[in-house]
Amino acid sequence: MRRPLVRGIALTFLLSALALLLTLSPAPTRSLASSHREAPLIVADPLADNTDTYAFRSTEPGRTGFVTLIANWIPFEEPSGGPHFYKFDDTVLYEIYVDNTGDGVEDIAYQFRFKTRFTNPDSILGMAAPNQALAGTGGIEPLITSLNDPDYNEPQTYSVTRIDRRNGGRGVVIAQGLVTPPNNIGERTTPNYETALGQPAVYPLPNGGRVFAGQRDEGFYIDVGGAFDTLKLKSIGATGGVDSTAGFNVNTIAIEVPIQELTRTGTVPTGPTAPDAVIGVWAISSRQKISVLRSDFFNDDDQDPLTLGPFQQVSRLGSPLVNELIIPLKLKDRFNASTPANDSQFAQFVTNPQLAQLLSAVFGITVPAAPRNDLVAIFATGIPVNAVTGPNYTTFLSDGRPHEMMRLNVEIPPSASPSRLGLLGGDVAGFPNGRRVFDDVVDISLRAVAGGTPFTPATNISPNNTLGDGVANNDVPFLTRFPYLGTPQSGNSTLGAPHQHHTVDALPALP
Amino acid sequence: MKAVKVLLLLSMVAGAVTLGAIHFRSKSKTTTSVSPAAAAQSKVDQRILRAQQLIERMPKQSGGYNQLASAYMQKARETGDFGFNQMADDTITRSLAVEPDNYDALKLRAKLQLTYHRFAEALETAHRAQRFRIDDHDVWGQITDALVELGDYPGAVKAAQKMVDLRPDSSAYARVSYLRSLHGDTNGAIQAMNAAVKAANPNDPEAIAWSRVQLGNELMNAGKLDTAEKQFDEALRIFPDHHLALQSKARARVAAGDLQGAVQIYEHERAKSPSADAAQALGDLYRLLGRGDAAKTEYAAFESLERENAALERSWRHMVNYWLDHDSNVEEALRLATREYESRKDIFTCDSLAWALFKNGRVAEAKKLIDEALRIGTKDARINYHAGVIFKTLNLRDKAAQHLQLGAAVNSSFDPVQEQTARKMLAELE
Repeated sequence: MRRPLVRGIALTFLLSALALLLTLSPAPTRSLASSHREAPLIVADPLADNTDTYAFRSTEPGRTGFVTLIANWIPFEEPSGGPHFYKFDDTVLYEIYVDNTGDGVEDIAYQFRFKTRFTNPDSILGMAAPNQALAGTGGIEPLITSLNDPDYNEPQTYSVTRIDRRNGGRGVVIAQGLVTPPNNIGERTTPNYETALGQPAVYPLPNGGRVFAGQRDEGFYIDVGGAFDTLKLKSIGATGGVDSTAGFNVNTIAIEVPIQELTRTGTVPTGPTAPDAVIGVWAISSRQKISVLRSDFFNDDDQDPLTLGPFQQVSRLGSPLVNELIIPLKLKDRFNASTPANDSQFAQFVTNPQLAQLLSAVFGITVPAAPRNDLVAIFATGIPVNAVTGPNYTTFLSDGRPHEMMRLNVEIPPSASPSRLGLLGGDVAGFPNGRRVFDDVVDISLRAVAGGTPFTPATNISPNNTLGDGVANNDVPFLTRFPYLGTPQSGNSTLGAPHQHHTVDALPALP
Repeated sequence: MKAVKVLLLLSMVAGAVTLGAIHFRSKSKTTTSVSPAAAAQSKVDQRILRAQQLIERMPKQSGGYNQLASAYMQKARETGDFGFNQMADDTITRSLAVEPDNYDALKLRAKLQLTYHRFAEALETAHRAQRFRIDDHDVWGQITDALVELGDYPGAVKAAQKMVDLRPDSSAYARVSYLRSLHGDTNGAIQAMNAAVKAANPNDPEAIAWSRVQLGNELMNAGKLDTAEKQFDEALRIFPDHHLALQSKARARVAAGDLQGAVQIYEHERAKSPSADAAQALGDLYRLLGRGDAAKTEYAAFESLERENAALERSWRHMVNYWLDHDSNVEEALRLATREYESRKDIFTCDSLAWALFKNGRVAEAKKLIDEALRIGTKDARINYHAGVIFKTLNLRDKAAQHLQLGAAVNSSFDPVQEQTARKMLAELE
């Protein structure tokens, strides 16, 4: 229900989710008598909605001993986002989890808490305000040239807390007071965005790593129509598609840490088949519960303590597209509230995925018969060392039970000639060994679900192993340095062509 | 296959007919607005078409029907044409015919029943959905809404708690806020609504505006007029001409003593949409300002618009309250209030019946009903004003003064005509 629309819905043909979402969210009505206070019934919660998780060995020169973990939230940010723009939610707990023992329970957690302050609380203009002009020190238009510019009216700061289960789960604040950059509002308000605001928001961490939190270009790319248009079949092949997520931004948290900070042994593993070489990564977000009635509210002091309760997980994301392709719509809430430790309850959807049947029906292809142990390996246990992938390749990390996580072998070094198809393209440093920002997870996942991989030789044939959406690149270049995801789309570009994107409404008719 | 095509054709024809009806309706009104939703009409039409295609391809699966029903409901909301809701209802019936008790159809049906104020039926449908899945946040929200409207407040509190615990989000926080407000906890309601505002979908301006209006209303109840009005202004900035925001802004103007400002806002709203609420409020203001003829015109407009609403919403409460306040049709009002009380026991229904009994001279029964209306300590101006009058008539002077004072303290949500009467009465008691 709460997955990014294009992916979660179009990919599974379950447009009813979109329909429900749109119908049940509030809409302007002819004003009926207001006796029945109709609160929004089903609303999207994008501020707490994970969209993508990435984990890979850092590829920036000089960062060989580091792993980069990236998690994105808030799907489909309109670059011209006003009047609100897109900030992290101060009331959401954002976390990136790492399991290094294979039980599906986090051993290391990085927590991110945000806090917005207002330079000038009386301004109604939001993120940028002409505070310098008001103080007689600047021009009439708001202009943000640095992270501490007074015209940056709503700077959001954050802290990073690291929790290590080996230390009894005690949290250690490793950074605080870090500033998130403003949104890329436009050339006039936020000129030289990447140099002046993006890169300065990359902060060093005491462990030698780095951290960034702020807006980025949406790096996930997909052509919804190309993937599924049975009439034109433009989807088979690497080109011809249209990037349906082009022109949108997301909010990104990226953290780079030394390898040994993530492994079971606390050391750099001796090699890719060492027992501590594989880690499992996922990101979650949580909101606070609240007690419906307060037992004691008779003081009329508006400084009443906030009566918010413990955090409840509301979103979860490890491997890409699992939530969209594998988990049935009606179990999405449950999946989003669950932990990898309890994933046995979802195993049946991996061993016999509905999408495989749909692919078979739409493309008329033969898919491997259930139970799909190949998919269990890719998504739920990790790929063991075997003849197909070679003696030095494994992503296996499991106590014998299924746990859906993004598995990364930290001892497989970055590739000199990376392929967007990762393992299927002969590049062992890419998905499903972790996920880099440019990995074509749509094509890889489609082929995997259709059985077009070396793990199922009988179906590793065309078109099963050539399925794709016809989009092989993101619309915006990725960075070669941390935080890797591209500069956010400008909200008011005066340079070059205005941004264009294909909204949900541009979806083609269903097959 | 053939049968489905005929069905599709029929539904398309029905759609065309209804579209024609809208066109006709628009012409019959003095003005029609082009709301942000109007611009989205083509989107929802696309959705209708897509759903019809899906039904054609997969006629034995409920998915297409559910999409179509959902799109019709959206269309009904965007156009205000309830005919589309009827088509949605028919489509849900077809969905349940191809896949009995399919979950999404049950959820849609419960939603539709809530829209139609069929609260008991909505509750039943939601409970039926829960036989398939007990842990759905949205269904617990539907149950909360139905129980609130039926007056089962302890049950509503439990359902809302379930909703929050399953998935705290803006819609859950908003329900917490309303329940706290109903239970007289204004500060708690403000807190929860603040949380709802913060968690609102930044891509959904209407949801943000709606939340800010609710927050502002609670701030008004707490007597914080300035901060309240800021919320309404913010709502109107994010969603220009949001009708609830306009009405709240006007009430804030009245509370600030700026009757002329309030008149301007209501006149603006009346020119844009056929709003019964605005007509009534405008009538009251004209009356206060000594413009008797203009007031009469607005009251007449209110009566005709509200009759339409009452039929759609299956609730005569607003009309009943209006008649009682204007000392007209008091016997008819009592008959309708009694009938409504048979189907729901929420505090506002109890209050209406209490006031109708009082106006018909049945004071002892009125007291019993007003006690029911006061049962969860709601700080509602109207209920407390009625309580004050009823208690005063029964010579319960302390209780009368207590409730009149409470009513006066939250006068901002009350109508200005009766507020004057209440103050006079309070002065007599003191």
